[in-house]
Amino acid sequence: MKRKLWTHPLFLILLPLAVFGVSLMIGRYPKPGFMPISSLLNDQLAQRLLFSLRLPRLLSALLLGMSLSAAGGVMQMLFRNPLVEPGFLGVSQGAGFGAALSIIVLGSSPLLVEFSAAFFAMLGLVTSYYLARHIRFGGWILRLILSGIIVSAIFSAGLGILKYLADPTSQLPEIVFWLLGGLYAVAWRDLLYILPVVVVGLGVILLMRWRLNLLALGDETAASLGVSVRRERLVLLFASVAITAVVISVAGIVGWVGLIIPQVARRLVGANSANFIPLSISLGGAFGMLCDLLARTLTAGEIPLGIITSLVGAVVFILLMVSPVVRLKR
Amino acid sequence: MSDPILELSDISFSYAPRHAPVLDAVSMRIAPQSITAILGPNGAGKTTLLRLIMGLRQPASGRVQLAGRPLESYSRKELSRWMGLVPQAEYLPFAYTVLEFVLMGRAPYLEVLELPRQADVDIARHALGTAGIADLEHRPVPELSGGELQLVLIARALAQQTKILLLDEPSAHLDLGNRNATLGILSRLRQAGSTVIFTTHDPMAASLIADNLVLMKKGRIMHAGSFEDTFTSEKLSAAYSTAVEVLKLDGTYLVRTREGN
Repeated sequence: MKRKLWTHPLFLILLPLAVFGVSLMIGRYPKPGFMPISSLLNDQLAQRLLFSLRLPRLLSALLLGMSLSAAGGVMQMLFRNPLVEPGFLGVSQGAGFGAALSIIVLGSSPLLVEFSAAFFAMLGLVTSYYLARHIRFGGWILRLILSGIIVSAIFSAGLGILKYLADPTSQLPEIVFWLLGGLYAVAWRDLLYILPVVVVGLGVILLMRWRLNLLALGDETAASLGVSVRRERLVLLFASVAITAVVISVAGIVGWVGLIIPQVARRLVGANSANFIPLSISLGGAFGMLCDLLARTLTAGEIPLGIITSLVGAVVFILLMVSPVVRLKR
Repeated sequence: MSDPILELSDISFSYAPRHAPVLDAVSMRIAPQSITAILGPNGAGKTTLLRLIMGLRQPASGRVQLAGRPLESYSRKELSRWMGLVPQAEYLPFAYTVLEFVLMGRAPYLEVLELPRQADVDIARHALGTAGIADLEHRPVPELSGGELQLVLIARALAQQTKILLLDEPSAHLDLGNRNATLGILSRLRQAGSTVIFTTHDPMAASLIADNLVLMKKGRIMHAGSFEDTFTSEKLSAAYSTAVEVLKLDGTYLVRTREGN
């Protein structure tokens, strides 16, 4: 019964939709709490706030959660390692470095920061991949994980240097705040550029969701089952990294979503990626919006999103894993 | 001998250039609807040979022909409809159920973007039945015993519905009952028209079902031919470099070794 619910397409769509609807109406205008329907109808400021601030922000939170969870799930399968998170191939550290570089050198216009973060995130992947191909020992997985760690270390050192050089009164706080993650600066134009990438990337992942199982069996077995291992793996890897890079570039480094949501989904419906990937995407979207809701409403100020996702993610994980109510798959 | 379904001519292979060859000028012909056992000491190149037949590795020289066509002329997918491989062991990081796992054997018949259909599930269930493990359907694969896992791997290959089945040490880690069950499956497959090739360290297992025998040592074929001609004290002793004695008792073979020479 439980399993049916978790894999039912209607549930998978309705869950994020419900969170979306509720979150859209919650905020601090006209007063903290629910926005009454009457002010939505009569108050022009309320309408503009809803349309220009809350809506794009909520949509980005949705895309962020969906993308990180899907990418995390895919990478865990591709690397045959349930502890992999989507930014590990130099992507997260690359984005952080790119953002900091832009804040110090190019100025802190959001568009420049995003562009620079996305560029260095992809550069992180390309460098990791290139390095992995040239390491002269070990299997593909070992080499790629190793080069991911190395490239991340280089970017993280670079980030350290940038922080050290940054003006401690103006630039440094901005870098730190960016690294903590948040969607406070999101506008429609950001969505314009992440939406196409996310739609295509998630589309590819969803369409190949059963195929992913075969790649998790290992190269030789997959090949003996007729899989063109290299090509299919590259497509899935690129799709996951692309969506991770674009959402990170807008939101900053938001941890834990990509690690924990696929874990939770797998516990609920089992290892078959045809089931757990769609659930990951749905749960991830809902989780992203809930965390952002907390980030913008808990206090009068703004709590960085990365803090909320880690905290809430950890608590949700503990509750799910120890609660006797939820039936788990091994 | 009728037209071979598989023919290897002068195959040589090494895993890295300038390394000692793992296979050295190996030639063999496999007749359709036969069971061939490949026997030989550790490091003889048995597993590598299966990989080359499966097209997972390309020989440095020589060629493999499948049903009269060079192996390279087949696509990955075509090959996976011709031949199924049962590996020695498989590391599985995620806890699939047995049915989910066996269903992956249907991949050769699915497009990249396709999900398995009900017909595929029926075939996977049928394969579980053939392997005698229908009751394991909902069990998580990592919880299976070694013997059960072996049967599950065989069931996945059966779901592939191939004419040729390659098995790497199918009877290792099995107790006597499971070994006999496995050998029984292979022998029924041959009756149903399949060609079976398996490697083994267990001459007795080979003696129970094999029509043909290949004795390998250090990448070369020492002896090959019909089972009766090849399964002799002299030839086994030469392959294993130790004194092996073959006895025939009431129509079954017994193999014994003596320490030293």
